[in-house]
Amino acid sequence: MDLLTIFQQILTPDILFLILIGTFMGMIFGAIPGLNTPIAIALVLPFTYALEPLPSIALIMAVYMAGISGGLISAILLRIPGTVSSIATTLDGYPMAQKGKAAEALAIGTYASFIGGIVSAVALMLFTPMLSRFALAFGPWEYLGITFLALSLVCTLMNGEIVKGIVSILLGLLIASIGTSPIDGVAMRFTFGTTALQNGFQMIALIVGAYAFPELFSIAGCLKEKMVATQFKKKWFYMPSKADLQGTLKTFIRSCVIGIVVGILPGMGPSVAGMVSYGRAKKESDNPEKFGTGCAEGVVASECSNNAVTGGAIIPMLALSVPGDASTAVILGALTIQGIQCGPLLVLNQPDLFKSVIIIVFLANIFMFLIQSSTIRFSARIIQVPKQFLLPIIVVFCCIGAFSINNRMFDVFSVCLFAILGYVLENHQYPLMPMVLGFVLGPMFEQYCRRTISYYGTFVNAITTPSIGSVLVIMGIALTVWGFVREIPAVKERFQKEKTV
Amino acid sequence: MEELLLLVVLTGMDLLYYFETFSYKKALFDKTGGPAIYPRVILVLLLISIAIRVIQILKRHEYEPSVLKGLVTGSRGVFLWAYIAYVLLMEPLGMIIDTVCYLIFICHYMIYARDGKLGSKTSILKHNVSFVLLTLGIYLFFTLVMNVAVPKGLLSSLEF
Repeated sequence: MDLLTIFQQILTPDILFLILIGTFMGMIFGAIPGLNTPIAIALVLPFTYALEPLPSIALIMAVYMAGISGGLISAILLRIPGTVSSIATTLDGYPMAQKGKAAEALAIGTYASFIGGIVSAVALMLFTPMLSRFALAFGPWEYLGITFLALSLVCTLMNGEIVKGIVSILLGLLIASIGTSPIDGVAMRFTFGTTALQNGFQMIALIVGAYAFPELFSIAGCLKEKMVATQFKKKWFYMPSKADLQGTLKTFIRSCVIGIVVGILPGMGPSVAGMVSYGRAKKESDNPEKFGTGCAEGVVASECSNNAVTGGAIIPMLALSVPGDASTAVILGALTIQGIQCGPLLVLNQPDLFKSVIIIVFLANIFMFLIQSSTIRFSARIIQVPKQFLLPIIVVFCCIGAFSINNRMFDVFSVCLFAILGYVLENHQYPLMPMVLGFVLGPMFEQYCRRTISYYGTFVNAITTPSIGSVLVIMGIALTVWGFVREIPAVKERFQKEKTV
Repeated sequence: MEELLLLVVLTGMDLLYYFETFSYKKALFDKTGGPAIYPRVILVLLLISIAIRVIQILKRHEYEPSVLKGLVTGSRGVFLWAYIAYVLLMEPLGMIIDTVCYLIFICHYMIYARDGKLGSKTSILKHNVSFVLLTLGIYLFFTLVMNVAVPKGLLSSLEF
């Protein structure tokens, strides 16, 4: 199919409307503190069941792109990052707002997000086919290596809490193993005679329960906290001025590269990209003392890199079926539900679908920029939606959304169970992202493990055979060990402090 | 202390699951160790991780304040219990009645918890009417657009 036909398929009113709706929804969820992109994607999942693959991809991608960018609204206006990706944006965005430059900060942030998103879409277009061709030579051992590396990378990001991160991953892997055993299908694992558990827990139930509800419970506990929004001048379309962007070209380029690389690495996310990029921008700047006082370059560094993550994270998802972050983990689940099998063969056997995804990513970024720039004045009001209306309506949507997966109450009860588990774990500082990643990667991990044993006989044979898989597994082991070793000085320091006390 | 309790519960589940794996049959042609090997490895690793965490807590005296108490009491508690009641009553009452009751109760409770009063009669009426309309909208969307057979409960005899 030529490119023009693909454009004709995508540029239909219904797909454009879905991108529009997705952009609005992503923006709203990104802007509301506590809600985030994976939650927004999880909430639109039930709506995609009734849709064809292309419209559902359009809706999900629009939510994803706008959700990552939407976090800048509350980060700049209230110093509360709407999503974790916007943590670094607060450092300079909020001081700009305090100086009466809120609209300018939002305009700069939106523009930087747009540039980051578009550059990462180009990277997606260029690198995914390359990676797919490379991945064609991969067997189960190589895939096992990549999956293991993804899980190990998550471990290394747990600052000072690696044991908790590992417990969280293992819980995710364990929950994923409930139900009929893969490959042979001879055992009903951990069902204890319950028919509903034979297919295991649904991904949406875990994501909505463990991700959305802990935040809802937290917000429900502080009803008296009121948010104050900044006043805006009456204007429709905000664009950053040339003076604001002067001398930021290097920061744009650096942030895009950091964002794409961090996005490709499984387990990392936009928050890491934002912080790394902000740190580099400050280090490389001629006036590092300006950072933190309302410097436009700081907003550019954070927002450009966190949106560059989006395209980067989609690359391993499409080429290797390994999600780059929590959002792409949910998207991978959504695509699987639509019958789209991600992996190297997707790009090579279904090039039209791949091209469509790229065009949708471009369109979603353009929509995000146009809508966000036009609604800067109004978007500030989103964060003032009364909690007493917002929270119960989200609960209702979550419950009915969970019910709609299989038309059964069991999934609604599962959401309830995961909600309480998620809240307890999160409040004891157990990160939830590794649990979700473990749950998503668990079935693949087991299948590759068993296929590797079947192929090589034992793991020792596999690891001693020179291959990319062995390198990846050794890297994974090294990263996990490094994660532990890195903790030792902090632990020693803590012990010494306690002794002194 | 609560984290220790959580870890004890997890250990109990871990052991229960571990012994359960011995009841799984293995296919004759299977050379991969059978369906029990993978979960068994995960369970052993989880047990080791839990043990390390328990040692950390005991050595560092990391006794954090109760999380569950904060979850089951106060406005958060009301929100949780209302949610649990909503989930449990969805099938017997039906989605429409259950959702309307839940929205009316929790929204007015949250207004009361925040402001110390419920607001004027007109605003209460406005809220209630909008909840009924919203619920009907959600119901129609899920049944007509997405073909979801949401529970009808008490209204199951009605044809709509």
